[in-house]
Amino acid sequence: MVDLYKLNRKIALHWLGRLDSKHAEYLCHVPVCIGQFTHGPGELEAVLSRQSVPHHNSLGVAKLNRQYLRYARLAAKDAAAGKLDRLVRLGINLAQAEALSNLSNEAINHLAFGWEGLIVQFTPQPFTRGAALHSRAAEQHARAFVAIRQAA
Amino acid sequence: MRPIPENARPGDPRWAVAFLDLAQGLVTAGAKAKIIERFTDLPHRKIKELYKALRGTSPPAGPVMQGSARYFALPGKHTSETIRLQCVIFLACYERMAKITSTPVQRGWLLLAAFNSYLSITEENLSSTDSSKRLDINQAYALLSYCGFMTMREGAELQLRQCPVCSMSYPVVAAEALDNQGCPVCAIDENCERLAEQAPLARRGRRRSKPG
Repeated sequence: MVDLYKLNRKIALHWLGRLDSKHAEYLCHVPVCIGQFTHGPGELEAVLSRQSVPHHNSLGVAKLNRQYLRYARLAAKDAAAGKLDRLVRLGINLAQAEALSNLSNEAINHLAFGWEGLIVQFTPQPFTRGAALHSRAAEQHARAFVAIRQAA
Repeated sequence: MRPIPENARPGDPRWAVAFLDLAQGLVTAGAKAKIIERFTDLPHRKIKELYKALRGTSPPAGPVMQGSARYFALPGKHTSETIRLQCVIFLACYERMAKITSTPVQRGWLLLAAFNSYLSITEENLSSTDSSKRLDINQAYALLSYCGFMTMREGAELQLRQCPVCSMSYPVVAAEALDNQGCPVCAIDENCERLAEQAPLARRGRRRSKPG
């Protein structure tokens, strides 16, 4: 949960530039990943099959990609061990989970730098609107973040 | 826990163990015997035995479908915004779980997997009073039935609607006017706003009523 909070914080910070106290408080109650991983195993494979790693990303983006991939790999391994809530928390399917769980540290670094831009998508509007509500309503909004329809 | 495909049959020896696992999971979650029978084809006697062995009790009594679709969507005397939010979270878990494979998954398996995920997601920061406000598996089943198990949405009593303000996807009664079926989070926010406006007035009133 602490790792998820840190990851969500990094994702929100990347998209919004800065987080105020309401944003930080909101993130404490979100039980799922606020970023959407929409890529299939084939796309991961295509980047991994490139011999040389083109450094598309700045260090900040690459670090965030690596943090997401490490978290997702752990969650995917948990899912394979029967903790299916991890799939719901990440919003991924079994094929994606299998591909993520098999990533080596080297492959994660390769993807983190070689992927063009951020590997997860995030729609800031529901997050900023939710955080701007009264504190009790914001907390409930955060806890129900799984039900938020983000633009694809 | 491998998903059971929609076309798998309990009598098929390849799936017999998976169906027994499903029955055990449903018993552990406290599902009514009729629901377990429906999804696993196990006889009532066998389910009673499972209940005795796993929980030391008989299966819960009462009809499978309690209340009505209105209970899960319309705010009122018996339905708080908190309960409506629990419905929102469970339905979202079910929707996400239904997408974990490209092939359709057996509904009983989906119900149990989504319900266990819902429990896991809602358990953090939960006080003992809040935990009693969570849905139980029989309510979750009834809610899904009213939603057409999210696959046969046309004609279902409950439909999902997205809040234009906070993007929350929440169930509404299709046959009722939408005016009094607002988003539960926005309703909580409006209530907080009202309380904040009333607080200074209430303080002034208390001060006036104090003697001296």
